[in-house]
Amino acid sequence: MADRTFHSFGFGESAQGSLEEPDRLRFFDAVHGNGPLLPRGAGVSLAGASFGPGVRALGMRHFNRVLAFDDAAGTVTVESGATLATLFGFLARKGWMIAVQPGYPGVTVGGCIAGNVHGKSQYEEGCFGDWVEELELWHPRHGRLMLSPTRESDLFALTIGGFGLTGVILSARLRLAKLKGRGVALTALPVGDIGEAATVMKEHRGRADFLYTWHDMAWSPRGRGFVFVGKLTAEGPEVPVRASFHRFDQERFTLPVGLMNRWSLSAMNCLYSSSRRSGVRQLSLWNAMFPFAAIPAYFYLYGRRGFLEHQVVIPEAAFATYIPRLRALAGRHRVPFGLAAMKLFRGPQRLLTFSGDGISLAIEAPQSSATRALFADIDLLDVALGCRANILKDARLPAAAVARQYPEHDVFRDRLTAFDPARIFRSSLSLRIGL
Amino acid sequence: MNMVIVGASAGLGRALAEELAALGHRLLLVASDARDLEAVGRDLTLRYGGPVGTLAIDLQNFDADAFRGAVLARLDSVDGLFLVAGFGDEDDCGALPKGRALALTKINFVAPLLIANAFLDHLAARPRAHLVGIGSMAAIRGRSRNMVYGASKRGLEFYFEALRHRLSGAACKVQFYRVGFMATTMFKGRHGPLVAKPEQVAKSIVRRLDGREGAFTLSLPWKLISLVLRLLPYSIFRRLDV
Repeated sequence: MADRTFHSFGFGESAQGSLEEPDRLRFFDAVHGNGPLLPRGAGVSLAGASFGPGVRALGMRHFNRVLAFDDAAGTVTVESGATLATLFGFLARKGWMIAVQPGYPGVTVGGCIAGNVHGKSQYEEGCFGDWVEELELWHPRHGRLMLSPTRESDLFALTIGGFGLTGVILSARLRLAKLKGRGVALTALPVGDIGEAATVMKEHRGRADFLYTWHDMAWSPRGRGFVFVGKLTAEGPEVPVRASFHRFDQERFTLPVGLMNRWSLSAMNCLYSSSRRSGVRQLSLWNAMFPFAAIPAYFYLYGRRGFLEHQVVIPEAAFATYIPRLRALAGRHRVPFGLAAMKLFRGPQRLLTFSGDGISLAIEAPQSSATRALFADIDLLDVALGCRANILKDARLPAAAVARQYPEHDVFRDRLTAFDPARIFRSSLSLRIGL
Repeated sequence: MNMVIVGASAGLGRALAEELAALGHRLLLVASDARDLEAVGRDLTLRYGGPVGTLAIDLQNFDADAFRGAVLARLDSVDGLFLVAGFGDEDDCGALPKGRALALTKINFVAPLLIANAFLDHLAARPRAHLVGIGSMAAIRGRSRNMVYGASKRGLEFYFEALRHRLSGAACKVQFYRVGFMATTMFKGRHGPLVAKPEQVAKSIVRRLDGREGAFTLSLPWKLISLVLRLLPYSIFRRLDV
């Protein structure tokens, strides 16, 4: 076990803890006591979800084995440390894919379940947890438990999007989506501002496999940009069994001073806008699915101070009010946004899962006191307009904001405490948001 | 080819199993915990398609002849034998309790010796075969850490040299690799430029299977460390905190 300082991706949250990476199942037979413990997947969450002060993080990367595949039923059973990259290569050759995949291939299945994450088209595919049929959970007090929507259903629901606080997910059986093609025809539709982008997205609702936007809000406060409409196509390169890609590394060398400021972000966004021509581009499914794997240097340019991200679901009725008020707040705090992107969302919101009906907007800015002040004001705006922030993406989202945005915040905490009165599993995130 | 990997459930053994499975070899994985073996076996079978068998044995208490019989009942013949299993004890720096000293000796020295011994005639008779052993940088010089472990690995290296001598002229290549720190549970959380990923080490070993026989140190920094340690006069070495 090694003591170390952990950082969230973006360096928004840090803590001193320890890391242990077991590689044999008998490890779990021998863990006793009151912790504190926490499972850890790829460790690339934007919030402190995989570490905590004084917490013994159990890295699950060695538990990455594919345990079963049922072609007739369209399911795969994998250990929780398996990455999306591992499954991508394995499943594509068999004509299947994971339906919900975030943009970085190194994330683990356990992390996707614990975060109940979304992919390129939450509106169509829902969240990752919607595709989990069954999972095996380990807790030092309760042993190994099989959970599903019909077996220990309350604990199953608490574990999907439970931030790893119910225990360690050992394995899961996932329902798969048929692979419609190995390529993606990605159409870039230029838009003059964010409002226009929302309208264009709604026009393509239900007719695209991928649907998201990108906006330049550093140079163009109105947020000119593109709506990307992706459709799977049959043609595409052969998918290797083992894909290699650049892995994000929290221990990496970081620039002592970030290079991301209003001027550099404006320049980069202008460069991107001008290089990204409107029209259709043919991409491999890998490149379309995992865009972050191709641009690691982008994140490194923020330097050691890093960046903060805030993602929020805005009800459609509030969208027209939200955007100008957000723009005014950004102007007042003089904070440049690095990234601004939108997706369509729908579905019931429960417990602490980031979901609901509306338009999700993600913004990213270099970390500074001004950015923290801006994001604190955005918390108030979110509450005022009935919006809900993504707990897993915001490294500083306070407990008060979560409690006001998530009606079942107390329900989650009470159920968790009923299952685990000693609260063995905890993280920087759980402590920060009052769980 | 039919390959047997002893110590295949985790670390370097598991990484070797994956490399060999990717090349289409037929595998028999051997380790102590049937649960992990079964999981690794299913994973490799599903992802690479080849047949992967498993055999759970306790390396501290097994009958080498019975083991040989069990292996040959599953594979008919063995073309490659990889003796990877090993473990260290963090208290191995002085008077270790007898049971733990014995466990270190059995797993790191006695068990691989007995298995190689049991398969010696079989491998010598094969038209083409590989016998691979894994040693340690801890066995370069005797020091006050990893005392029993280092001695066991030194003994194993000596035995592999004897095997190489015995099998010279046969079609069985005998190779022995001294490995340094690896990112496995045995090296609890070590990181830095000297720590290799087991996947990298496994790739190197598999790539060299048809290469030269002998005892090898794989990475340049460890070669240099090894050279310095060997050349260092004992009067200086004994003062070092290594």
